[in-house]
Amino acid sequence: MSKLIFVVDDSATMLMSVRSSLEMNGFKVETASDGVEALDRLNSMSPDLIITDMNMPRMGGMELIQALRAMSKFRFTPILTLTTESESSKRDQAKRLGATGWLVKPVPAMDLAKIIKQVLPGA
Amino acid sequence: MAIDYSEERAVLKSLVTIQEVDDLQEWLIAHPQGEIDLGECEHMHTAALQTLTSARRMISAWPSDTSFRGWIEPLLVKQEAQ
Amino acid sequence: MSPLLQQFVSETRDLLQSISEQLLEVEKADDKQTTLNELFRIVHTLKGNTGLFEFPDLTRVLHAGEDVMSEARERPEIWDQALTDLLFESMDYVSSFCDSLEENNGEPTSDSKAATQLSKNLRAYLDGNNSEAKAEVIDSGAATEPKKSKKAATKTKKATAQKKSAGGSSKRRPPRAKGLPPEHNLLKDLPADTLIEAWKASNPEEPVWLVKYSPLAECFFQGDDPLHTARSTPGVLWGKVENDCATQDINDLDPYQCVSTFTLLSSATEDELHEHYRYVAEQTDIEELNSHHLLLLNGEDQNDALPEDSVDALCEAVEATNLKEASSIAKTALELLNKDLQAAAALRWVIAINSDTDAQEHEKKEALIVICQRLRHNQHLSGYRFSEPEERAEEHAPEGDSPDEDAVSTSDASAGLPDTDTEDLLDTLVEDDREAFEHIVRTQGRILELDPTVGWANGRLRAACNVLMKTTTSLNLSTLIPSLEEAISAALSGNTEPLADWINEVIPGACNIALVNSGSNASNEAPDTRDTAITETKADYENTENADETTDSEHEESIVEETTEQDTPAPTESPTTATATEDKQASDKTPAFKPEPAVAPSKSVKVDQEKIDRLMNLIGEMTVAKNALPFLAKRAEEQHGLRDLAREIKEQFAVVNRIAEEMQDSIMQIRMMPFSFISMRFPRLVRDISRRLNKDVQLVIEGEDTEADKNIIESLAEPLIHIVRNSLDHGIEAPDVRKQKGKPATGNLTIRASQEADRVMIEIQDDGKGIDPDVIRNKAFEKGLIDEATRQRLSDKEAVNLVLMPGFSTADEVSDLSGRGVGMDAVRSAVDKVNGTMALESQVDKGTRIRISLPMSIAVTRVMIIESDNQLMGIPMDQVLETVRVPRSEIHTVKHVKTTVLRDRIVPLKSLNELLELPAEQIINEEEEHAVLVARVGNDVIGLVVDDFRGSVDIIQKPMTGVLSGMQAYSGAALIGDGSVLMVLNLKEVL
Repeated sequence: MSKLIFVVDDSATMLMSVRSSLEMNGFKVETASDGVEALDRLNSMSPDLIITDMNMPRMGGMELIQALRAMSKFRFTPILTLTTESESSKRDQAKRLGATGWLVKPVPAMDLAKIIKQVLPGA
Repeated sequence: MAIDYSEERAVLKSLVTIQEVDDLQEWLIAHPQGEIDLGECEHMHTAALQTLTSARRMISAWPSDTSFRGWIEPLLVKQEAQ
Repeated sequence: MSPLLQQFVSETRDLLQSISEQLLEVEKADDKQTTLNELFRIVHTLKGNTGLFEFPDLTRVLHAGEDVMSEARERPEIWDQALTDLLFESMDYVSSFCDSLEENNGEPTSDSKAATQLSKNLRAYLDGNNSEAKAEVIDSGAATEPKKSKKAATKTKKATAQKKSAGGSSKRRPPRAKGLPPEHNLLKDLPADTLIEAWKASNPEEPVWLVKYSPLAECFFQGDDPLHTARSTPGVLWGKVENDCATQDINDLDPYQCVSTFTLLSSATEDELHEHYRYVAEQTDIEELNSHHLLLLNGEDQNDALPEDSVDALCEAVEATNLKEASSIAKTALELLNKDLQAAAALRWVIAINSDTDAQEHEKKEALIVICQRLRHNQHLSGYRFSEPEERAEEHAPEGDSPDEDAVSTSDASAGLPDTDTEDLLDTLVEDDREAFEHIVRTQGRILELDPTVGWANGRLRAACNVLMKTTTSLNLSTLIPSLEEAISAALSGNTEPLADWINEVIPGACNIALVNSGSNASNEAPDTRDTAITETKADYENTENADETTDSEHEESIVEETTEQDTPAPTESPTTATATEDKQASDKTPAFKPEPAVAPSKSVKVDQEKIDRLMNLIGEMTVAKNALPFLAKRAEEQHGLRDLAREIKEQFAVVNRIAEEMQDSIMQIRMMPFSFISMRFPRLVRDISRRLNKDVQLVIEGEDTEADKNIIESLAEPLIHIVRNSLDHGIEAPDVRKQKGKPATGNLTIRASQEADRVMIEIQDDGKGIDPDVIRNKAFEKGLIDEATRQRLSDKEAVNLVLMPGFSTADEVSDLSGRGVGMDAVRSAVDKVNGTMALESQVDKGTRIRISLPMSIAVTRVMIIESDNQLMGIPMDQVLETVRVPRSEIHTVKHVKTTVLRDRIVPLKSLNELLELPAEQIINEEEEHAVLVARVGNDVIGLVVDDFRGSVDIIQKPMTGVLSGMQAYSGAALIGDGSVLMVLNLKEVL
């Protein structure tokens, strides 16, 4: 059964790139373009992994992670943040809030698959 | 769900996630003699391993993946002996 | 262009628009902070997106922009108008970059100089200390790499340092003393077989690592599964979990607290391990294991398991380097022994070490000595004096080892790598650079050897060239650059030989493209040449380093430091190298990237215009098909007498009709676009023009949500821009002139969109100097556009509208802003094209107001069907003022023109048959009345005499195609319900 991965990013280009990388690796993908939309859509979904951008309008990555960890459904779901090279302090902060790890943009398809295998048993 | 429960045993299959640990713990408490079948188990979340370690049950079948078995056997077999 | 690139361009345009809006906002806003945060976010997103592609110039500009925005967030006081200008200029660069991407199908023609200049100018806003050094790094060509490699570089450094120290303790160079290495507590539980396997896996280049992983108690709530992390460790040889859950009552257990710790042995590289555990780095301890640490006798303790003479015989065989003998002694003794004993473990070690085909004889001997010593110790036997192996003794002669000493020396930093002497000459930093550099060059060499016929070979080659160029540049190996440039340009035009030669010059044997051609396995060949290559390049490197000219000596040190720390693309971490390696791995499977079908963002969908057009056509056909139903009902009733069936058909028709109408509405909605689609360009336009003209203008845009059909909105863009330019250029006065007139120095320009019934009204109003009707009258007269009588007759209001006439232009001097010679008449004809009308009102010194009225939609047209000479024809309803019956007696001929008076107005009458040159009289009804359709054509009202009216209907008008397209009298044709074709008259042409 292919795993469902939920990706949140306000950039449609980034979403498209990550989506095609994931789909190339056999994952199912759902997306949202900010934290508010993500929370809304996640009400009716239980993805195996959530990948979120940090800087987004309405609700950014930090708030989204906090909100998700407060929901019993997503207490244990692996969450990876999508960061740029310059955001290393944000990675640590996100980790403290409950993120599992981080990805550094741009993420090559092969690296992505490898990292997901690291955080997702059976992927 | 990756765990099948019966009166005698819990059969863990493929991937046991942390979401299943609550039920597992409940079943273990309710079935003090219940055995554990890991024959078709490929992986269990650390939390599930901790729960099984604490329960100290008879393992009626070990994982066929020997490397996985190598990881968990010392913790689970020790209990069997106790 | 790939779908991803298309998406990128389209999103970039959106983001540029947002940036532009925010930039205008910053200048106005009292609370700059919010706007600056938003600006940073958008620029950050944009820059992040560029990282998906290889556009160094673009990334460079946006990177600088991002840094400036970041700085401005912290220190809003650095913001000035010049920065706004600079950012606008930068965004223009990005915009034109997108243009070139589109024009050249994904291969941009980029102006590197402009990019460099922009980035420099932007960086000038950064804190003086950092900016220059940063700019240097960025401008050295490695725009995307530097930060990435920084971490990687330190890693490599660390790894190298450790490798060096590891060198002394590796199999090839084991500890000099025969004393026993300390026993590692963590290894005591390991099965003997695992230890043997680990020992075999380790060698001087690839040591074995011991990983201790103690996850945080709350790590499950960070999505971790430590057991999975441990199990999936690369190169894992053995591992165990420990926890004290067994002592806890299951009833009291909190399974969500992680209390487990993990220990494992791995043969992966240190980098791989750090990579695997990077999310939990602070919970992990990775330790290199001396291969002698592994030589442990794990098992049950029994001190007299082996007879002393057997042990002695074994030791003697080892001392005599008679390894076969040692092995056979061990085999014999093992047969008599309980396999779980420590002594048995020792014997298995002896057998395993002897059978290790990878190890050198002296390595084996040293390992065997350790085992023998341990065995003696274990069996409580006295020590055995092994002599120093010859080659080792020589090597370490000055250190004067005493074989009796039990002291253990685990590391030996000076132990000779083959290149020790050269190495000493280079300080460590340079050495790190050299290693990274050589690794990268070698990798590119191997990439060059790959099959050049695969589809992605070009991209791969470009990537390799990029990497070589960037690496060489960033290390300031300037003497290598000219030859590299030549080689690269040759390679990109199809000849990779010079590039291969270049690589081989740097690292002999690193690239053999001939191998590929002759079909042998190049990638297997390359690593063998490695070791020799390293020494030979070093001299080259040194020379270049010395010859390197750094012009700015003051900055030299800091730049070099920056470069080495940030710019050195490390072997495994540099993204380009990584991709290249992937390519290599993937080359015989599937390409890493292939075009994927377009993926829609989650909220709005971009759809091809064509698809919507197709939907429009289909609904048109549907409407026609549906309209056939009433005819069918009629026939059922009249011809077959089936009243009930007719009624049912009518009922069904009502249902289908409703659905079809809703469907049509929905499709129309899809085509609707907000006015903001074009109005969003105006703030920037107004800002730029007014600054150029030194005028002060406040722009107000209202009704941006007003929607109209895409075609309408798009057709409005050009005319509106023209009108706005006119207002700024000729309307609004310079501030001092305005003050003299008693007006506020700041002029006002308002653009207002609104909906009135089924029409969209656009109003452009300024409070400028207005249009003087007398000037217009005279000009029009001079130009022969009006005669003297008209000049006298025209009201002021009518006079100002003369500017809309073709060939009229009021500009006294031609300004580059308002275009050359194209006046308001061009605007008018653009508006005409979409069946719009426009009117102009102006008062001297008060201002000008232009009103444009447009149909909301052009897709569906409501037409009045008329009959003339037994033909049905349609006339667009928006031109029809009324339909009247005019008694023949009320038609008068004035100056050869038939007219009648309707509501106190003289209306000229035209016979449609005459206009269409149909040889028939218009039919009069029984009351001797003519059917007259009063229509508005442009600004005129005329009465069109037809035979009869047939009601109105919604049609989807299709343009005339083929030979019919030449028929100007008709604007199009449509199918109507009974299946016949209705021609729609183009009244403007007919008259």
